[in-house]
Amino acid sequence: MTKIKTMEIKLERTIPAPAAEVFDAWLDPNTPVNPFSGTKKLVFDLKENALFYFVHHHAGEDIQHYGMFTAVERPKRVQYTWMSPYTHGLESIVTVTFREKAGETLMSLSHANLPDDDFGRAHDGGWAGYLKKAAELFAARK
Amino acid sequence: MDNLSPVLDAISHPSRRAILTRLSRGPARVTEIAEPFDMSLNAVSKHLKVLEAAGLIYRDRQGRDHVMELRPAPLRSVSQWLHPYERYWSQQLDRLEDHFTAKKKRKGK
Repeated sequence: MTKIKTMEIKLERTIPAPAAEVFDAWLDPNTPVNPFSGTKKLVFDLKENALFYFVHHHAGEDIQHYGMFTAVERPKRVQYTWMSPYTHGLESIVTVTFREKAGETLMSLSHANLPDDDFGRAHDGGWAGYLKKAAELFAARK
Repeated sequence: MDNLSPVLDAISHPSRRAILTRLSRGPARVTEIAEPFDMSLNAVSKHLKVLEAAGLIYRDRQGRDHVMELRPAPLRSVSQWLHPYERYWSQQLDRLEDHFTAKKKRKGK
């Protein structure tokens, strides 16, 4: 079997609230500020080795997501596996850490083991394709 | 820090994209790069400076010759930005940040 090339996305954000509050808001489906809220058919059991499932409706499409919580360390870190049509059968891994400093929280989100497809190829001239795509998007933003 | 804007700015011009396409075939002297373009050497130099500032090309000074080489690494940030999950998580974090910023403002009143 050909091994699929994978990639990792990393994002950081400072949230103006203590870590415990941010952690809870990120992982409470009843707070409308996280991926689990406002979804359909939600199954959500926030503990290690327990599962989640939800259907996210976006651009006229139903997108199924499911995974397993692999670490729940309130309020410092949470990690879960994440599968959706975008992961092409790969079990991707989302890790979120919450570091509190002076009443604010630095949130670091990593989404690893994502298939490196469409836009991610920087070889065989493939980058030229996304150069064009980026330029089109940029032009559209102007 | 926003590393993406200079890269997007650099690739927003068709001549600069053509230069990158040329350099994807291998390093080239400034005069060789300028050859197929209907513009002055000075104009080409300006485009090269924009690409250089964005980290997309490297200038190797070989005596009087300046040889330009492609550095595709910054394009990685563009590809990540275009990835559906990059946008998805950015939006999720925006919502979370807005939620707490609004909460803080309400408390402050």
